[in-house]
Amino acid sequence: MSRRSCEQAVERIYFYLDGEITWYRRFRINRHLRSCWMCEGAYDFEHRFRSVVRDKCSEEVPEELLERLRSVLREGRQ
Amino acid sequence: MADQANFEADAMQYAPQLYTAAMRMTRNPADAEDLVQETFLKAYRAYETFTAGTNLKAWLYRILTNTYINRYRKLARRPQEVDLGEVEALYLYRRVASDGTREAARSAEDEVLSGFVDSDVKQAIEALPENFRLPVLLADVEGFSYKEISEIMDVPIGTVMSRLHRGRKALQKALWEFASGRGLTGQPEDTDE
Repeated sequence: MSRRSCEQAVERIYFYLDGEITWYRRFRINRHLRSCWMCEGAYDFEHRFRSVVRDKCSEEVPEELLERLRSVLREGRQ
Repeated sequence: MADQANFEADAMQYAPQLYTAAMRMTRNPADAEDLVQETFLKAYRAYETFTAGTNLKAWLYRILTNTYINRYRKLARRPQEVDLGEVEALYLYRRVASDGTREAARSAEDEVLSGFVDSDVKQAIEALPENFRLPVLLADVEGFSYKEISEIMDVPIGTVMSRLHRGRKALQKALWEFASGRGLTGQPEDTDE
């Protein structure tokens, strides 16, 4: 694989994973990933890393906050 | 125009997500609760200006973000715009991926990824300077598009992209430091801050 296509794949990784890329660039990157396992590995890793971030930073919303919101909204209505 | 009478039914489903975002913004439960409550009150009062059928989640996050910025940025006596050093692309991957077969690399990656605990990720996000933290939160935790983030934060889309991409790399660097500190990475402890 040419180094230029690896560089382009790395430069565009976030745009690709964010779905903020034209179909043509996506097509070219997909073609590159099928033939370059280092880049394919990087894309796969970044994708999994993002799921880890999302999964590990959620919070249990306190039930009393939900109650408070409902009662604040009810008061607002009166 | 949205009907104020429907606000509770329409908006309550977003309360848990807004609370998660508020926790990462304010970094503590009492302030996060106040922030969500203030957001809901403001949103309720302004609900008639919201166009029914458009993006309610983004609208609520815009109110949350503005409320946070107006209220807490004043309290925090630190520069609003902090810069981050340049972090190389694929920071974590370059350190985690091993030579050898794809299978060996994958198993080394899995070990590091599954070794991160909730508090690592939360602390690493909370440690990001605010102008980088908000885009990372909005994109990677909440799943907003660049355009939505640009509207929520009221900054140009190019600024969103550059802060988001740099914030992500800084997040990886911080997590790598946590992981090496705990010996998760099979590397000597990294005392270099």
